[in-house]
Amino acid sequence: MLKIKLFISAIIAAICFSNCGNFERDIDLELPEVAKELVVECYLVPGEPYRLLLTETKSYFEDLNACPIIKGATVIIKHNGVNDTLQEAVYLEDDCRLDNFFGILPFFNADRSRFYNYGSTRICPEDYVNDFELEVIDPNGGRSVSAVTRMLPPVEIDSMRSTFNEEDKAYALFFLQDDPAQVNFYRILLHETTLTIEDSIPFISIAKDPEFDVSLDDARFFNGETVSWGTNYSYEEDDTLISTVYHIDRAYHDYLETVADAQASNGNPFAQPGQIITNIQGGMGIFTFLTYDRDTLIVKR
Amino acid sequence: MFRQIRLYCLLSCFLFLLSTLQAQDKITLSGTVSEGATGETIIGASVFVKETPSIGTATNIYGFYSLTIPITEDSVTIVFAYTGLSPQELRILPKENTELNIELAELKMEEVVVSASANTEKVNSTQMGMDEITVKEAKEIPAIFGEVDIIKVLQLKPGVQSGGEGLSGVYVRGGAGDQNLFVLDEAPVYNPNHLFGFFSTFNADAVKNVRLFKAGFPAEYGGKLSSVIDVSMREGNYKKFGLSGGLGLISSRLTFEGPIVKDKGSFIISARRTYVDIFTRLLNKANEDNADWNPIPDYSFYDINVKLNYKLGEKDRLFLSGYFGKDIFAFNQGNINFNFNWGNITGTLRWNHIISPKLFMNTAFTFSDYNYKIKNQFDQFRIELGSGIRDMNLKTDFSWFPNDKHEIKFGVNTIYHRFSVNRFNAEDEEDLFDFDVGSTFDALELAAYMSDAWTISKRLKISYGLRFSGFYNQQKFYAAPEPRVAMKYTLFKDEMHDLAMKASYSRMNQYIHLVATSGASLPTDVWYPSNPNVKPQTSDMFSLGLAWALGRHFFISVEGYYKELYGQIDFRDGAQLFVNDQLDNEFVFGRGNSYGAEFYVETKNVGLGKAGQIRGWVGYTLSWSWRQFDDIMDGQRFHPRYDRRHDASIVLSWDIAKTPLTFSATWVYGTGNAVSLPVMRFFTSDITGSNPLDFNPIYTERNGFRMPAYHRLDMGLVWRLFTKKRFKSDITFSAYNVYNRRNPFFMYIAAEFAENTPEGQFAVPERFQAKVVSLFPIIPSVTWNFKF
Repeated sequence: MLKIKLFISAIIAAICFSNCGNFERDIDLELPEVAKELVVECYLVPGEPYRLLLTETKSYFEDLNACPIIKGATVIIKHNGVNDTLQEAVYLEDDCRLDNFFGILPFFNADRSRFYNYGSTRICPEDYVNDFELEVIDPNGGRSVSAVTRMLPPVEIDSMRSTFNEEDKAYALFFLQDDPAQVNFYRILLHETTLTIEDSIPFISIAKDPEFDVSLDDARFFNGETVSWGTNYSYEEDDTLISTVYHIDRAYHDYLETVADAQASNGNPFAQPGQIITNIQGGMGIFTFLTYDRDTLIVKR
Repeated sequence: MFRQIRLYCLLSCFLFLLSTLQAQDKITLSGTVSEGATGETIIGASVFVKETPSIGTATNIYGFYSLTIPITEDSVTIVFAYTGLSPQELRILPKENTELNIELAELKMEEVVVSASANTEKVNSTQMGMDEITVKEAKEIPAIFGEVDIIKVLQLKPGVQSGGEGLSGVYVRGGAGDQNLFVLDEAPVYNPNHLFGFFSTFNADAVKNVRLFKAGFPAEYGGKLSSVIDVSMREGNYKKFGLSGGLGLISSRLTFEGPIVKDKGSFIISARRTYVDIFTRLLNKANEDNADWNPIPDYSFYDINVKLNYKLGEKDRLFLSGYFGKDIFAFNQGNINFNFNWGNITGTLRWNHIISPKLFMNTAFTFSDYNYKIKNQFDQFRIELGSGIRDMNLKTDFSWFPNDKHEIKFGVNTIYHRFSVNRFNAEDEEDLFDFDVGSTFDALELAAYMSDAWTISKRLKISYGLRFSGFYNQQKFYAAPEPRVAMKYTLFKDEMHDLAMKASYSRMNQYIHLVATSGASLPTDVWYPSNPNVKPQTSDMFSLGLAWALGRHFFISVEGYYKELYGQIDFRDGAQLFVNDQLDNEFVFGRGNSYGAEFYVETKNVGLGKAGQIRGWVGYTLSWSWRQFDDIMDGQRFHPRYDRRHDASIVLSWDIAKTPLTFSATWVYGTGNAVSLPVMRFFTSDITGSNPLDFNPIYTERNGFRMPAYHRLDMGLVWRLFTKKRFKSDITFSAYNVYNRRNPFFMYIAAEFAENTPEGQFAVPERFQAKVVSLFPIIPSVTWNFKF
């Protein structure tokens, strides 16, 4: 981020000393044909039923509204010797497009903020010992993918606090009960007031922008010391702040980081784009779990 | 390996003993060659016997020469020559060793420069892949914003590529940006750039000469794989005080120089500073009450070069030189205080001692420091981030000229390195948190070398040498031999032509590495030492070529090369390089190679009759460069970003007869840089509370695309005023990118939304479109320079 800011400043300086013009132009680009891969998004949440979104990759210049959803696949989650075959969502129309999602009756997550095209009634157990295995077979495309994950127990938020400056703005700081003896990975989100916009129509206005959303590696940044995270001076008295700390594994951390890098690289001349690290064998996406602690702070003086 | 080393040492000793047996019936001429007007020593001046031009030598970087010639009954003529100065001939009777200290006068107006001797010296030397730029040449070449930049002039030579539009970084013969050894008066410069690479740190007013080695590396140089860029600072005028300077579009310069004691010692102090920040501050102040105004951050850089010289006697000379440069970037508004400073400091204390007419010694202590520091204060929060490298280097070099057949060099070098890597501190005033991470490493680099330039016959000359280098860090010691061999064989020679074939091989080791992912040199890039997990980089460089002095005015060379690179460093996918004191875990290791051919035609001065005279060069490079890492693209090889199939440059300067005008033009062409672009995408729903439906790009092949080709024409005109008076001045007009080509700086794929899409709401883009971003359109500039 810093490099981007510096670069932008350099560009401004350059522009200050040159006659302005059109510095950006369209260019025709031919992309090579690459085989489409299955994309899996599956988050195992203890106490909630299995849900999975199965799509496929698209060529970059393909119609953006072309349906990415994969129909007719066999999706199996295996755990403790039990194979659970997920059911497919009901489609009201043969075709589906991103600009018309009303042709599908999907599965939802608990707060109905996310939809999935495969689901089950089986409740995901809280098991930190045994692996969860995924197998997906797409007979129409002749493709299959697999993945394995194992849950980690949540890490508690130790405390949250806020402090005001002279301009009556407060920042918030929270601390985790991190185990410095092992390398831990976290995804930390902070929201103001709510996580989703109330009375929203599912899938259209579903999320409220997080104040921040970071994934981090405690060994890299905190070097065995207390893990804490803070905000800017953005809040006023009686504001409500909700922090959520997901205890994630390396696979999910690396996936988040490499997806973020890939997004940031497109448009940053100083970045070296890399490949996305995925735990989906033969495909793309992520098969992981969501174990978390959530805490709320009412900002007070 | 040790057997090979022993054999090599024995062979060297044998040749060395052989050389001493041949020193019969000869005398030695020695001394220094300097400029008459200033008394400054000249690097690379030719000294040869007029009757037998094959007996000759050139002055070293301290202006010293030693020439052994046969004792004869007849007198001989010794010629001292240097391009741009009037040659001097001295008739002597060679009976005994003689010291000749020569001063070459400035050329008179309209005098045609004798450059044949320089071309002959180039052909007759075993040195390959070497380019030399004088500041006089650099000042004639049009430059962006009118800022003379010697490193950008080097980019116009074959085999040397820039990192991108307007950038000063160099990539030599397929090497990486950190594989260039920049030395300023023998002190390494670790970040030779200002303004994120748009300008180099070398102020042309303080520089005497720049030499670039791309191959056939002399044994006294080591530590980097791909090139040596040796910058020598001016010494100052030994005869009279002078003030010079200039006002340019973005910076001004001032240089003061003169004798400490006339003809015995001199000093020079030269400074340059940009003044963009003065205008941006005024703009910010004028818009203080404008709510829509986004304040422009302060940015400036400055350089100060200082050098003192003193002749302690006929045989001893002391030099003390220093460089201080800094970039300052600051944004202070409200309760935000962001300060970002970076810069180099170098210092050199050097003692030249002429032990005998045949033995010259240089001992130097150098200091070099590069660091960057970011200080950010936001209300009660303080964040500091910085990295740096600090060197202390003690070296002694000997040049021994035992007879007319051999020129032997040997020396030792010890460098103490201190690396500060990602020192990060964050705290608040209430002490609720206080992070302090980062690493410091102390390392020792050692080297000893010996080389001999052996003239076997009039046709055949061989240079052979061995450098033995070692590096110690974190209880791990690496040591490796670096053999260097070069030969020259004269194929044809007459009064008008001198054609020689050359070949060379050199091995180089590099123990310190730049942690950088981009094609540009950024101040936040971190130098990192070899350690038990990070092995040194090594290269083997082979070159074969022809050098041809055609007539008095033309020099033509063709060189082919092949370079193998080992221990190359890249980064794993998802590498975290910022605020990470466990960088070892982020590296991946592989190898690479590069190969190509370079064509070069140069003329120093050709008379155009009544039209004046013209000089310049044409260069063309055809090259390939590859990298291969097991952990990148499943081990498939790929082109690095700066791989360039075709690279051409034309540089011309024309002194227009009977006018005080010099017109210059450069045209460059280069294949577009290799870049990575996403070929596929997928969308993700993500989890509760996050932003949903992101389109994520998938990059498959690294650097699998090419940007459009780069080409540009620059033009300049130097108008000299008051040429015959003590106060001299000139006005330099230049135009960068004359035909206003939108050259590519980078490419990306943009999401384009429908016109009525409300901001801040999720929407599916209408389409994706590939874009090319350019930086500089046509940029006219004017610079006024003065000297008195």
